[in-house]
Amino acid sequence: MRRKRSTILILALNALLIAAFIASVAGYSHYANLLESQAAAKRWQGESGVRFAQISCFRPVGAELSLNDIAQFRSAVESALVDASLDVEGDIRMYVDTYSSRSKLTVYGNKGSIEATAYEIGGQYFTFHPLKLVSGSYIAGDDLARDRVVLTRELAWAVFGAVDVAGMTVTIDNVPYVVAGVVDSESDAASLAAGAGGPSIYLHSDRKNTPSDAVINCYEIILADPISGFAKNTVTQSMKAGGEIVENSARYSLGSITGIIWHFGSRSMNVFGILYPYWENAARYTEDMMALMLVFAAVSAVVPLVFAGIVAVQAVRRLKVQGKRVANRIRERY
Amino acid sequence: MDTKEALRGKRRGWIKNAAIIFLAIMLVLTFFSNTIMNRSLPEVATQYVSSGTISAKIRGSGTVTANSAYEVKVKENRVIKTVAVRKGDTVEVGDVLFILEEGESTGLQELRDQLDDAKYNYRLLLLSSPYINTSSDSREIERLKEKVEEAIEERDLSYVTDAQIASAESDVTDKEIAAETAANQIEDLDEKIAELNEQLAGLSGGTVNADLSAEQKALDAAARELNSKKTELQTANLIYGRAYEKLSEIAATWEIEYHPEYSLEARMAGYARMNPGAGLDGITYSEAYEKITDAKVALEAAQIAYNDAQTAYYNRLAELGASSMESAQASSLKAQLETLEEQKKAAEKEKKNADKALEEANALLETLKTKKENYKMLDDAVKAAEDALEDKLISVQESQHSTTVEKTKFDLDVEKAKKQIDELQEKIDKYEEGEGGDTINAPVAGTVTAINISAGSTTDYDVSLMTIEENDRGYMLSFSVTNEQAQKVKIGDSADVTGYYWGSDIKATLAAITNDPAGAGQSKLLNFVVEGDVSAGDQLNLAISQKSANYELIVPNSAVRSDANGYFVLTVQTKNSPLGNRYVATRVDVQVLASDDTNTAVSGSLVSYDYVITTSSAPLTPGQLVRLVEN
Repeated sequence: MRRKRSTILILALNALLIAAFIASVAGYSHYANLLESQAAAKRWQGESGVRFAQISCFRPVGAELSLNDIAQFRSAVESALVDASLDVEGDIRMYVDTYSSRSKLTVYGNKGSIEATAYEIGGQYFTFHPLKLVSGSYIAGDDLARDRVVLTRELAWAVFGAVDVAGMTVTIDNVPYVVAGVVDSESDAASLAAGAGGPSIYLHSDRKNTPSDAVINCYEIILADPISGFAKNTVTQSMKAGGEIVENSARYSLGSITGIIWHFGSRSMNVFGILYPYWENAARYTEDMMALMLVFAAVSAVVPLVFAGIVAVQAVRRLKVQGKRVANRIRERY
Repeated sequence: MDTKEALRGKRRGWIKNAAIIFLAIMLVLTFFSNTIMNRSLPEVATQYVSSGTISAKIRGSGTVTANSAYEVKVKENRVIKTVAVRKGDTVEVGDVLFILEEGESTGLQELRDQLDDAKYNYRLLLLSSPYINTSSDSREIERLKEKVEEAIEERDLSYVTDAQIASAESDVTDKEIAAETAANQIEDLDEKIAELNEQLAGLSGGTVNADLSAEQKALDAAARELNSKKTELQTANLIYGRAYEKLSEIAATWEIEYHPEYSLEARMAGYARMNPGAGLDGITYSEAYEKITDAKVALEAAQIAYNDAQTAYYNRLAELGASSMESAQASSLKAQLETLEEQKKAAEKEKKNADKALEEANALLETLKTKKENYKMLDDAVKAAEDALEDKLISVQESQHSTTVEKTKFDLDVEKAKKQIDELQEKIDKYEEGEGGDTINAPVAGTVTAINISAGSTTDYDVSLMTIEENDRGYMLSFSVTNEQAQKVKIGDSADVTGYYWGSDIKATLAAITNDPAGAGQSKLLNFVVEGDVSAGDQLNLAISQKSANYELIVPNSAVRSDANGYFVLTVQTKNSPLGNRYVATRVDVQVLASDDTNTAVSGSLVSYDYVITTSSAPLTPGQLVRLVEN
């Protein structure tokens, strides 16, 4: 009777641990797919058949990039693509990029004004950060009009008292800007924890037509990656020295997450003097959570695996004994 | 056996129930599968593909400036004392822009010095002429040279600079002011003295007898008399008091059995009358009464005498007090008068000195002016002497026909020196033409847009000091656009003025497209001519519309997406199924033809009234099932 009860307890413990394992794996998967900003390479790849990697470069304070640096970098990347026999001029666009910087600006509308976080952007920012459109459209680096801006819902509400405000005008530093669209900020737990949300405005970084004014502290690129590491190496070699380079499309691989567990402690150190944008902080949050889930999964899998091993060994022994018996019977009969 | 049957029956029942529940769940799921699935699908908003026009707008803002800018320059080197206007001020013709320090242009002075040097060198050169080779020529030339030197010496004695004259004039002005100040001071002192004299005459005047001894003596005597009477009265009172006490003691019981109705006073009077010899200390009561009465009378008389003496004394004292006050005032006034007289003497002395100094300064100025006038005359004399010498030298030179290398070189040097003199003279003439007064005035009416010099700085020859935009020459406005934007517009395009509420009648026309110096080749400047109710400094927002064109397929900007394969739109394709319609996001590759703020013209496998997805609740992939937003 006692043996039967202990068997039930062991089975229940194993069932509980397996459930914990499944939950950890589910959590791991959840965090891996939580942020759209980390999956831009996959979206960009589409059905093209060319493999792409997403790389981010974060610049330290005082070593920001200028538009001239970006132009030189693009030129170097195109040379690297040509060297790798990739057709830059063909139908498939081998790279797309965006750059951004953050500041604070006071935005005036017809109902009031508010200090908002300003993202001065260039290139295809919303390809990387597909914020949900509430009204209007995004802005992009190849727009003809450089005075169009995108507002977040909170900002639109604060300065207009409405969200369907595409085509209306906001004023910044006495200069009018036309609202192109209104977006919702990311509302996932990681982004919220990283400071997303609140009144924000997205403007063209070259809206004043003065290239020397732009100060860029984040550059992102989706680049053809015919072999693993090609894109990151190309960016590392072509980018002006300094800062940190992250391969977003590989950051959630098992190896990367295991590396975080392995480098636990030093992981939290920021030795570059970089102020990460919220999406990078959110990504680091998800990485940490995935590392935690991986540890939970590994710990919860140990006991069931040992138990399964014992059961398997016992089953093999039993089979061996039964096999011998059958063999003896056959031998006795014949 | 029965137990086994019962157990089997129970198992069958459980299986049956489970099967029923399973079938029921499957049925529910089948009926609601569409709805359940729809809940899990991303929600999309769609719009029709339409046809219409695309008209891109190029917007910009800038500050209105006047069409013509006048650069204020001077042709002299002068020190700026004050800048009389500020940036943004509107000035009229003739308004003072700068006030200059007094004095002559330093550049002009330098040029004059250079000219003098050049002339001196020229003369030296002539004197070293290789043409002079006869003794008579040499003598003549020597004589002429001496004449020139004498003339120069005489002329230089009369050399007076403008600064010296200006200084003398300033000195004269200072002296005039000093003399006038001294005269004014004397006048003031005279007035004050007259006033004091008037005040003195108003006082009673004369000396006042301040002798009070008689009154004082009378007063003292009356006081002594009064005091002696007071002593007597006191003594009499003392005697009477003791007598009265004794009498009242005796009279209290006198005749009481006969006349009990008598009062104490009556008894005392009766007893004294009836016993005239009775008394105390050798004095009778009656005598005591009399003594008191006499003393009282004497005291009253002494009191009256004292009062009279006192009144006389006080009256005298009051009279004496008023007189002494007036006397003190008079003394003070006299003292003041004396001080003023002394001041007046000093002022008169000062005026005399100032007049003398003024006279001297005037004389000096006159001398300087005369010298300056003479200088011109003497300078002419020097020139005449120089000309005579030069003529002589040239005549000597012309009289000789033989040429040598040395002579040729001399000729060239002479020519060069002459040219240098001419050039310097020309420059001096130009400077003198430009030399004005002590102010720089506005030559045109307009708005000051730049001031390039500050107070204390020295002006440079023909360099801009200030920019004045002439308001009556029309207005310009320019702003920077990208090269792509600049390609979309052409000269002559008109722009709409947006967000300008103060004047509606404003017309802006694109007049020129120029390179933007600040754009590093990435941008151009659009220059507009602005007409209407504007003024320099107004901030205008302009929107210039590209020529609109008709397009067959127009989709909202938010419908156009891009990936590695280029631009595409997602259309919604409907598939019918037994459980209702299914909507599938289908990729359609397009080419972007044109776009404006809201719409994009595309070409591709689209037809009008196709639904294109403008926005979705989650990122979409082609072929994905979606659900339409419920309005």
